[in-house]
Amino acid sequence: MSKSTSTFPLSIGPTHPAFKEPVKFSFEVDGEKIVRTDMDFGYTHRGIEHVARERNFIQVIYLLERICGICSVSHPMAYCLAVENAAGIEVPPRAKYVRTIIGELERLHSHLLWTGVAAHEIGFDTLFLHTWDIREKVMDCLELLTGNRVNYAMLTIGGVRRDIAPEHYGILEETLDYYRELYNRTREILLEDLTVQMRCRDIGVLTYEDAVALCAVGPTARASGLPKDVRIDYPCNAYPDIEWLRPASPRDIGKEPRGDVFDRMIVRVLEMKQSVEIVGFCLDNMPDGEIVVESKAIKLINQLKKVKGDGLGRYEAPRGEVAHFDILDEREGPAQIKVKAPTYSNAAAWAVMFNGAEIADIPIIAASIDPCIACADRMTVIKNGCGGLSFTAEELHRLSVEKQKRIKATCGNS
Amino acid sequence: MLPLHDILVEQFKSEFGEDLLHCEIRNRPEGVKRPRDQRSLWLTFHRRHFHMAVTFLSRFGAPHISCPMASREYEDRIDLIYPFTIYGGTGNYMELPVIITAQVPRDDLRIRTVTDIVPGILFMERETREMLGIDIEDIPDERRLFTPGNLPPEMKPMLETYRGAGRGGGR
Repeated sequence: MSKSTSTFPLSIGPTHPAFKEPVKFSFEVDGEKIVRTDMDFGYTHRGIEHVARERNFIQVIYLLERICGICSVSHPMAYCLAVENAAGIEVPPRAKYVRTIIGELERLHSHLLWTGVAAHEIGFDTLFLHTWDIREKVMDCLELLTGNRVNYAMLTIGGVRRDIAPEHYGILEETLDYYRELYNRTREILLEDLTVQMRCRDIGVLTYEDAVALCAVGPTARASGLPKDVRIDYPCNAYPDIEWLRPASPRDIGKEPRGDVFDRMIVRVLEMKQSVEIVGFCLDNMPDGEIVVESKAIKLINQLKKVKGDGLGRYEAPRGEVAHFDILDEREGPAQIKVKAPTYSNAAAWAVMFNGAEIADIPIIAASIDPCIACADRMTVIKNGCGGLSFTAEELHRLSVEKQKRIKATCGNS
Repeated sequence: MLPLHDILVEQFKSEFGEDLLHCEIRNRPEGVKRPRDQRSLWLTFHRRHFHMAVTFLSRFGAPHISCPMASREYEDRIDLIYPFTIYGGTGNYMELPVIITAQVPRDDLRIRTVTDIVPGILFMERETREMLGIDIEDIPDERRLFTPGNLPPEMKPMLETYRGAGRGGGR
């Protein structure tokens, strides 16, 4: 029997059990092998950039926190940096350190979350449960410091809204010690277990050259040997003070980067330890003083209302570079904001990673860039005149209440 | 020896002369105990020189696109703002944002693609095309990126003229 040379289309998504968020992949497969990949985005429409043009400077912070539940520090951070750059606002030293601490705790919980997702995608659910279990400690710590597990509402333009109180220091130190003690064991499971290596080694390869050309960012770029990290390349907050900080790389554990899924795991494991040590550094060197330039929102808005200019804010989120470009035009809010999430940069690399891989590897390759489709999709506006897909806030609220009533009634009858 | 951003400015001025419509270096101190100056370079060109400018920039290192293009609208033109960075990934605080503004005439909304120089910009050019209605000449993929297929083609969501009737906070 002769071997078939024809290929077949295989569509996965937009909603699929293997993906945590909606994205549509259209593959061309030759047997089990993927020979061509195409992607379709736009299924998580919220129109955030458009909505932001109708809000004032302070309201926009909390709107942007909701671009992504996991990166709820990263987007407001990039936005505040952009506005501060445009308006020439100098952030107090203590606020820079508090910002760094919250940002690194976010990185720690994000990488632990990703590790659990990756473990689940390769069928290693014991590891998935282990990492999500130990993640709870940092989530509790964030809740204690900010009042929330996500959407911390910590940042404001010109500083932070809450200080780290003296009674929090002990709990933070205890949390850091908890992760220091767990690190070696966790690293051993993730990086030395044969099951993990068999599923992740030489899978979903992104070469250094492709990472440069496709503008890859974050752990995805670093795993390909491209040491891009905004914390080092263009540091803000307390990062310029941390002399020992270097972009994590598989070379740190004596391995030459291959740009595969396993290398992405190595980088994230190393960055968890890095985050713990950065928080420790900030606690040891925390400056005294004010935490915000202007705490009265109305006064701040009135100051910003006089500014005409633009600013670029860049921050290294757990998944890579987040960039916001804000235009200020003597209004109560930004005249325009443009948002770039790390997934927006890394998604282009998916096509390269998938090609040549097998169908069974699709979930782990997709997960390996730690995608956040909600971040990447942040923008699409649908208004009247295109099939009646427009809803007002009141209509959405009414629909939500009606749905809840339906669910309650159904549950009550069962 | 001149710092890298000054060298870059000199080179751009010498290469483009009066075609470089505006050139500015911005400084901002960052850090507390080891303060460092964060610098960024802002350049403005007419759209006919934009591709040449990005090509010229690529001689100094592979440009990285940091953010989708923002826009400023005027009566006679739209300014497209491309936030590039170069010297990133060197691991030694050397990265330099180079923000290039391209002026596109309002009555002829088109600009040449730079995907031949920065392949990673493709999604952002597709977004610019659908959101602002600026035709990206020679773009390798003309499909929409985010907007649904049933959105009327004349509807360009990020144009000022499309601004919805919101509560007006940002106004």
